[in-house]
Amino acid sequence: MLQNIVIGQYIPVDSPLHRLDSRAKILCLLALAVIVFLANEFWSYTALVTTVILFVVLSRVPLKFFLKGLLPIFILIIFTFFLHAFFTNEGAVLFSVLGFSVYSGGIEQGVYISVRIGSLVVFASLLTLTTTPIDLTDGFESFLRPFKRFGLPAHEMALMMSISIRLIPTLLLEADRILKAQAARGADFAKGSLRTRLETLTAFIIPLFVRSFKRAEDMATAMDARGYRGGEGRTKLRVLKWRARDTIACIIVAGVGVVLALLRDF
Amino acid sequence: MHIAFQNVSYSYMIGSPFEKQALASVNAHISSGSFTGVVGSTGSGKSTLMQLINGLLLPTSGEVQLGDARLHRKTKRKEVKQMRKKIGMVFQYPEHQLFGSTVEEDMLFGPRHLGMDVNSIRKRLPALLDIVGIGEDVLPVSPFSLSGGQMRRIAIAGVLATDPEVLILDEPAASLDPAGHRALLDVLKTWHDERGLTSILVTHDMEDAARYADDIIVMGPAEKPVTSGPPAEVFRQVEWLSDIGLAAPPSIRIAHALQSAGWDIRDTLLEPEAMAAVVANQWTRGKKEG
Ligand SMILES: Nc1ncnc2c1ncn2[C@@H]1O[C@H](COP(=O)(O)OP(=O)(O)OP(=O)(O)O)[C@@H](O)[C@H]1O
Ligand SMILES: [Mg+2]
Repeated sequence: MLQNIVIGQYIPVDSPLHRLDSRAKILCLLALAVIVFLANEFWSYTALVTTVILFVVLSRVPLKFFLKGLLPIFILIIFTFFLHAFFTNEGAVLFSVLGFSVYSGGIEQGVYISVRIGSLVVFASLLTLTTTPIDLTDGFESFLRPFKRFGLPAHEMALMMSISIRLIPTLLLEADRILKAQAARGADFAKGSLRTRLETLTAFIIPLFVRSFKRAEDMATAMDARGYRGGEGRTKLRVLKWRARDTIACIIVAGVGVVLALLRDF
Repeated sequence: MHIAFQNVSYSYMIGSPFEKQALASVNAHISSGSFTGVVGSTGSGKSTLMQLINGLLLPTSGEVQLGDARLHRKTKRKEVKQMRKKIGMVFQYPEHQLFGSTVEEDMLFGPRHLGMDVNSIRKRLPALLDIVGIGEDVLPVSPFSLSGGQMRRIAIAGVLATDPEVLILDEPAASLDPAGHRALLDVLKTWHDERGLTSILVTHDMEDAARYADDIIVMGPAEKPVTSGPPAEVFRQVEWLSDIGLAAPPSIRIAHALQSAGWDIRDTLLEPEAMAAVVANQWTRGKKEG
């Protein structure tokens, strides 16, 4: 029933992007989020789209996973497209519907904005599709660490994040088992009166909570038993390593930024 | 109810990079009224096979026959639900499915959702609890206030309350103490005999399979996914079993070893106590003869 959910986002294939340090990828994503907004005319948008395609090909992740990420925001893209198409009054009038005139400039703006949103989403997906959740949290932790002196619990936040990420598959498996157990007892999660549906829902939620609390308790005990006492003086089993290729990646992204900045209309 | 698997394959998470084939072209059948044991090493697909019987999973290819009904890739939800009424399923760790604010409420969940007459079943609850060895005074109590073993028995009684024709037991006695383990399986076997059910017991314990099952299905490696037959036949293949990570019950292994050493042991499939008596008997006779 829940078996078709792809756990987390990470797609385990080997590619140049997969091999990059997670910190480099986070930095590049931040930079790209700004760079996307530099594009403002035909050639700079062409450069942007080329970059997107290049990165997607480089990641070796099947296209359908990007489409999956784009699907939820598709409505947003359609909406902004029409908004621009109808309310931008530039260029030649193409046609009119319901008293609204659609200008060529409007269509152009609509396409541009859609490309911009789409590229942002693809770049963000690239990060989560090519980075394991653990690397991702390690990366975030190293960026948060400087803020520790202002009282930010960087280690605890990262630990919380990695525990939750680690437990998502377990929780999904547990949910799947409980769903099946109740379905075997006749529960139908898709049909029935409000009252029966409420009861089926309770029959699902309560065991799930009971199991989760139990698991949290066990985990706390296990951590205690192994002498966990917070982030102070703690070393890592897997240390993030910044290599030449990570610097190169950052330079390439900066290069993309420069190209777009040169191409754009001022 | 006669159950047959015809070229049944099943893969989890189809179409994702995590796709995993759990069963490949399985052919097996379970005759009506039998008590069948299913054994196999961890991950061999026993639980998957059980979930295919009551339509919790539908085969990726092939077909499962249940009496006159058929479950395949395209079977409609409605038909599946109809089937499910006749099939009771006790999962691994059934106590994890409890949710009711009282034991009574929880036990009536199945009957109510299967559209059975709840009032008449309510009257039968004390008798059901008695069968699994619990007093009726727990009916108004919260199930979460009971011990793990008691919770398990209540969950099982809740499945029996739906009066199934086919009873699927996925390691119902796992992690119980030895006495509780035997007691629970004895109860389920008696229930099976009295009602003429068709029952399937998934177990890691070869001793259980030998003791309770009329037929045994062994889930093996990909080249030879299943083998089945009566216990005597299956457990004769001592070497093959150990090749796939299983072992015949100790009493049977000892009997086979003694047999090949020339001892006069005719029936190797006796229960451990009976086997011990035979061996002791032979031993003393051997001593007298010198
Ligand atoms: N929900 C699931 N999603 C993905 N793969 C699964 C799922 N459930 C089982 N599998 C895989 O299918 C295979 C068969 O699993 P199954 O649970 O049927 O084995 P089993 O014989 O019951 O094992 P055990 O003795 O441990 O209970 C295993 O390799 C397992 O990893
Ligand atoms: Mg199992």
